[in-house]
Amino acid sequence: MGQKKQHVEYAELSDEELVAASAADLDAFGELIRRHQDFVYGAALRIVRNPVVAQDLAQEAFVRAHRALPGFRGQAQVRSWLYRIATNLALNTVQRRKEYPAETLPETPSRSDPASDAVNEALREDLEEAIAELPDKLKRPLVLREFDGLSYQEIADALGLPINTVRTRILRGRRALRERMEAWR
Amino acid sequence: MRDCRTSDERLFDFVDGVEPSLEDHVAGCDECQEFLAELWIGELPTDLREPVLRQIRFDEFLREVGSLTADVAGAMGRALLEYGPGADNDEPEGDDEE
Repeated sequence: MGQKKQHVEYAELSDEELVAASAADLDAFGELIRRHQDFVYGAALRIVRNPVVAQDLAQEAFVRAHRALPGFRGQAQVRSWLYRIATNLALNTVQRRKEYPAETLPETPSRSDPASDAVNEALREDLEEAIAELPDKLKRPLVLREFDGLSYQEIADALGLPINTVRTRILRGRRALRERMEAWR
Repeated sequence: MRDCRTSDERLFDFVDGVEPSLEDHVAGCDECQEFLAELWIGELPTDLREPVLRQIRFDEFLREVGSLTADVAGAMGRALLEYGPGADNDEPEGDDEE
């Protein structure tokens, strides 16, 4: 119970406040990881093109960021700072190990979205309603991505659409849902 | 369209590795990073919190152990200088015989 309250409080802090708290409080740093891990992983994956290596690099990027906390002066946004750490690590890795080809993006194991298990029934119902109201062209790729856990490429193949069209529609679908669910924030 | 006027299509190409010229721009552009953060939602197959925090705790443990080892080694060194074999050399010879 106490832990849950604490988690909620961390979720309300800005990145900069979390950085300030992280040196003495690992839970604060855990919230930073939760917020930015997809982004840091994506930045690494874009360069190394290998999901397993990218995951290791993302992990290492956060460990290095924690070590560098005392030197973070807030000149850059926290996300930019993490981006630079991750991309530098990834570029160094590619330089050292030339076996990662840069031409094709390997399929990333996708995770199903467990969030719906955690939200209460009313939120779930509202979310389902919001999804149902989306136009089909946004709803289908969004559901395949968020609920069936397909990669962008798999959705493109399944729907016979260019991958960038799929990406765009999923982004638009997420934004529409976010607006519709604003009352829950 | 973002203030930097980088299109979604160019950022998609950047993600696909066919637009590497955006590297420096993206590294410093909050808007483009915001877009990429949104695009990469759900990409990571596992939660990194536990392994990262475990690694940080382990590193801290090693540092503490290292510091403790240095303290112990320092104390042993001082004890050796004070009470070790060489310490007797300064004693006046013949004391034991009297």
